Amino acid sequence: MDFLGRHESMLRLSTDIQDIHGKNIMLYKGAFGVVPFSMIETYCEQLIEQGSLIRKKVRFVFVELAQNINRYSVERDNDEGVGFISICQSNDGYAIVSGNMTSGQNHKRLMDRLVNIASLNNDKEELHLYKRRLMKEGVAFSENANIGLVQSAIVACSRFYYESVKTDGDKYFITLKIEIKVPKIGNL
Amino acid sequence: MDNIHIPGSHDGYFVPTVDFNYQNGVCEISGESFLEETNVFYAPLISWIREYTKTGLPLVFNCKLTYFNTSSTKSLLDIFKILKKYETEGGQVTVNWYYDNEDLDLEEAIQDYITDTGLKINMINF
Repeated sequence: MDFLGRHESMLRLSTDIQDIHGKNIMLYKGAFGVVPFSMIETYCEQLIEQGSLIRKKVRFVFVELAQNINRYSVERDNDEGVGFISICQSNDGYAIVSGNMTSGQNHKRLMDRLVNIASLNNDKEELHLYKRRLMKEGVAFSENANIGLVQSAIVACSRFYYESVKTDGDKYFITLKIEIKVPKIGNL
Repeated sequence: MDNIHIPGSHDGYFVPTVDFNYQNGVCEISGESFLEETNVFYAPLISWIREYTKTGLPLVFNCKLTYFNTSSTKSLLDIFKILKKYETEGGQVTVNWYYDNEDLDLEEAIQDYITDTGLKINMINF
């Protein structure tokens, strides 16, 4: 059974994350070596119709979530983290969805970050303060910092969803969805 | 001191172009920075700047990065901290960041560096 097949029941539990209502323009599942990072270049250029700044936001969030999987997924393939990531297009923008298994040890720290990010409710100033507070505390760039998630929330400046499902043993399946809205008016 | 020249590349990872010139004291980094091993890439650049600051000569740091991931953020912060320390100790330091002023995400990231280090960074639209 492949990765999505094994985790299908967990993905079904998350209605917010499933609520995309758009076309899936890219899905990658497997080990997060260099391959997905190469793919994003092609997909951003060819499939994202909006201007360069929107493409840049999509790419930024994609790269950070992909790196997150590579670093923290407890499922490994040749020392590369295993998980999935997709880009979906909806009427008002894009959503980047990722999923991977994480250890109980990482889970507590990750949930702390995610709860804090979500509670800041897209307030850019507060998110910047939170990022800088993490930096001052000296944890922001450690192996378990997740500063990329905070920066992704800043860049996306939109809704940030997460779902955590406990699986067998001391492991959790984490799903994240970050939306990037395309402005109706103004330069992109 | 030897000059440093690293050609940029896009091969899944994004390697920025680097030109550190001892003769004229101009250091330039441009392109995009998303590397497989960020610390390994930036360590010699940071060492080079540390060595240069021992000369007491003026230093111009031109940053033309248009994209950098959060792993690269720390290395850039380390560079700016060294430059700020050099300036505080009497060194002549000029930092220019060339950017598209429609890119608000990048503008905010530069502002974060200014706030975090106290270093003056000239933000130049291009």
